[in-house]
Amino acid sequence: MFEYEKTLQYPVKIKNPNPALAKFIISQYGGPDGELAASMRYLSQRFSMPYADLKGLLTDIGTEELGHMEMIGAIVHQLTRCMSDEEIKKAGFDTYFVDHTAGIYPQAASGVPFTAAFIGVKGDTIADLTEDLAAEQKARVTYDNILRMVDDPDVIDPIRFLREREVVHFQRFGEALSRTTDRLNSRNFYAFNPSFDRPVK
Amino acid sequence: MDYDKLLMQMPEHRPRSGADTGDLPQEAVIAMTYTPMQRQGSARFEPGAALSRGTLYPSLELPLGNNYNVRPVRMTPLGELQALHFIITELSLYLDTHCSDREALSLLQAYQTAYREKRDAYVKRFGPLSKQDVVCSESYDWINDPWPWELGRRDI
Repeated sequence: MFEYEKTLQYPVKIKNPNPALAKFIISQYGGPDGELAASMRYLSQRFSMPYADLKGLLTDIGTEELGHMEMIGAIVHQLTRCMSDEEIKKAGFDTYFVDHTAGIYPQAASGVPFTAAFIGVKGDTIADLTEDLAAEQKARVTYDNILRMVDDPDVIDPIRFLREREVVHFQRFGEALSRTTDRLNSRNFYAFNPSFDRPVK
Repeated sequence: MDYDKLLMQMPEHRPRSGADTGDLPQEAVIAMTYTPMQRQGSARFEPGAALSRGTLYPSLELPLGNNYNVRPVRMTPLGELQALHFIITELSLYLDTHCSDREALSLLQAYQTAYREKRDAYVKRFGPLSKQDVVCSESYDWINDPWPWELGRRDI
């Protein structure tokens, strides 16, 4: 089960509203490589993970990603407070505004709503961990691209933190894959699916 | 931003921690991908620095360009709590893939003790962090503003 801790993982305090930034940062809330997708991917992959240590890793990273989703929600919320009609139009935020006002809706920067098609759960240990490695890299690049577009230090600060977490998670998933192959026969790592088959004697 | 210029300013190899390399299997068979395992005992940041930099380990700090997040997180009572909590998060992820590292386990336990003490003091002063904390409240203050995503009056 999950229980809420009433604090962000890392402080988000944005002094100047700026809906033009909110328009694309929302992608890390509900976009293809966003935090909602990350969390759902890892928390769902846990159920078929056969190894105790890696059940732990998927649980811990999946839970941390929920906190990251909350941070992105806080960033978008603070960037879109006290907007005038004029500011909304000038920032190009009108296309989001007509559908969601200043609410936080899981969608990509392009407007595509969140879909489970953004994530993969293959039910195969090697395939799932390889998906997770790619997912962390794609999220890292999305944060890189956001950092190229932003010059407000109040926004850059938490975005850099979130970007760095992708690098750390990539390392841990890579180690998880090594922990997996350590347990398999190196003559053929693909002789069976450890998430599904009983180990071949 | 001119990233080429920024990268030119970086030293060719980053010698900061001396722990940039990890261990690979001696016989790495083909048709598999391998990530070097982080070594035990690699250098660590202090709690405040770890939080602001987004990792406990200098060897894993790999920013875009050379934009290291050196702006420190303000060490308010909540900031201190977040810094300790973050160390626990980082050590747990490390231990998930290095479960036989006794030193990291002792460190995790020490930080958990420190966190628990700080958290208790925080809850007594500022109100509940989880619903379980209402046990020491005089009213049902779990619902009090500000919630974490809001700017408190002091923040603006």
